Amino acid sequence: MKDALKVTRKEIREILRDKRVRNAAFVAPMFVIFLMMMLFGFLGETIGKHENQRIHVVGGDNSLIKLLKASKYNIVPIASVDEGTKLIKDGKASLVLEFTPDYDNLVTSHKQVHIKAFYDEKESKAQIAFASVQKELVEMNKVAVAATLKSKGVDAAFAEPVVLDRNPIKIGESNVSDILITILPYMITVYAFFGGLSTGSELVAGEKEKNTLETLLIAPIRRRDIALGKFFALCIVCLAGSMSALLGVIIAGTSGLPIFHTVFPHGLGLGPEHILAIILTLIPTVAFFASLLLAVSTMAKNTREASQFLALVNLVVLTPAIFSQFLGFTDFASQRWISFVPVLNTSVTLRQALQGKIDYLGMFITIGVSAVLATIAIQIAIHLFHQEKVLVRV
Amino acid sequence: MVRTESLVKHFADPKQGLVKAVDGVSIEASPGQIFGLLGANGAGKTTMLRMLSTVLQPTSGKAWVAGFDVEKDPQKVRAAIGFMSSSTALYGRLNPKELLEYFGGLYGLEGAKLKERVAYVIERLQIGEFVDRYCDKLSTGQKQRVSIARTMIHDPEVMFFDEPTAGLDVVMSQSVMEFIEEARDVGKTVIFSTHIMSEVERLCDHIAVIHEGVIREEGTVGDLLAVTNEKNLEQAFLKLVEYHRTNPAEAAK
Repeated sequence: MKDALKVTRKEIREILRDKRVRNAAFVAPMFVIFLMMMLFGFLGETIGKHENQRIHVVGGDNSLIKLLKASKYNIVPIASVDEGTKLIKDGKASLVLEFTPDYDNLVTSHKQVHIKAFYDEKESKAQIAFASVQKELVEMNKVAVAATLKSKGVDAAFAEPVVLDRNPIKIGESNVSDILITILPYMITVYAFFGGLSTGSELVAGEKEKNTLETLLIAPIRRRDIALGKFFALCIVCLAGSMSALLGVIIAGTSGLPIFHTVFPHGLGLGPEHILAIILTLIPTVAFFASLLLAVSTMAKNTREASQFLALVNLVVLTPAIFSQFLGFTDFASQRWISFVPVLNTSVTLRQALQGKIDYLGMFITIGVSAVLATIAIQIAIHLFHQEKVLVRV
Repeated sequence: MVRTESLVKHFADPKQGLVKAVDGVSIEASPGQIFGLLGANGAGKTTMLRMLSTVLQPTSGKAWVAGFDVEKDPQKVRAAIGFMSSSTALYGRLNPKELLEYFGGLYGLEGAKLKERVAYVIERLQIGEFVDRYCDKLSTGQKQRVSIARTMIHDPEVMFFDEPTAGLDVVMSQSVMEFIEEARDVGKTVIFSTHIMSEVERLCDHIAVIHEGVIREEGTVGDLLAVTNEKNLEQAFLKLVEYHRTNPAEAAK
């Protein structure tokens, strides 16, 4: 083990001097996550603001338009629906509302009024504007119905005979926002793999290519120690990748900047117990990724071949990681078999940790599965290191 | 000492079938002697040295290096040898001092002994002026000096040189050859693989001509000239490997 650590120290020293790896594993994840949080924050802020919703109206001024203006919507009068349709097609308008000229008369005489809304259904911005106006109308209708009923001496409650009361149950102590719960497990898991990708292919395949492996193999240390030394170094890089992503979240969440208010409505929301659970789950996952990368790199003739092999391995890691983002829409997250699916189980455990409701059995199964896979992959790498093929593949 | 008995190495090549890289080689090199392995490219020299340095396992036959069996005691063999080749490279993002400390550590040197030995080889090979520069930034000559330093960091009993001057200019080749001579003079067993006749003539006390994995002849330069009845080593070598000048007219037919 002493010899393995000598190899690890040397590898880490070289890795830290490689600008490409420093950026990919240490800086990029933190930076990307921070920017992503900023983007989500910006979108959350702007989407919710009426000032940013421009609504084109046809049919003169009326009480509803006045109400929308009072609610700070950006109202733009236009001459006709044709003009509005053209503006929508040109991408210059999101929502066009056509009012009948006698809108106010019909409303005051308690007649039903139809407002025609024109928008591109595929445009998110248009959908948001439509939903926003619809919400205003629901509120307005509610007030109008209540007033009418009151004038007739009827209790306003008759307008809504059945009401659904929201009673959310808080499970765990987590205050982490939904958006983080959805994307963070994916990002942390993926960065654990991608952070070590270039280092992985360099560690053995790169040594073969640069003709440094032979001098190492001739040194009187066991091949097992060489493989383990490189494995430990790779574990550190992979762990750094995911920890860097986590650090990006922590910096954004604790910065107190207004732009992060939507994403972190209650501050960071991550307690030390969440972070501990994340790290505990990640360590064996990282070991699995590192051993997988090392085995592939040992098998490959050169870095080019290693990259080709790793392109396939990417799929094995990415597919379950992507699927993990949609778990919230299914019942899978609570099913036991998920704990046995590599990568996906890690994402699920991280998700639960962020929600503050850790399934300890699931977490232990996840750690166990990752540890078993890591052991198998590192044994394969050690076995490959004992083969002549590690140096000469005919 | 280095000794082999009927050493064989075969590779299974998907395209060429069975490749007999080394086919029944028996040699013996003694301390204080430079043993030359003379052969053309692909003759089996590198495979032979790789078996002796335990990187490759013999298909059959036996080999002993510094008294240790290459198959039974590979780690002891590796601890006793220094290996230098023109093709082996240095770690680009380590400086010479770090590289020497790393390899010294792998060869079991520690603490004051490691520091002392690193300081010695740095001094001995005049590496001091560029000792803090990354190996990637060194000139070919400087890299070669660091390579030699790496080879001798643990003061090995046996040294293997696999075409150590390939790609070097005259001045650099000269310093490498001087180093090899010094190794012999201090009593090390040196195996020197090359295809350059002038180097063999200058350095080798005993030569084995290897061709297609088989030793065609061995002895001193004088012995080879006498056996082949040629006046120079180059002609003797060509005769031993049964080289025939290609007749362009016949080749065209």
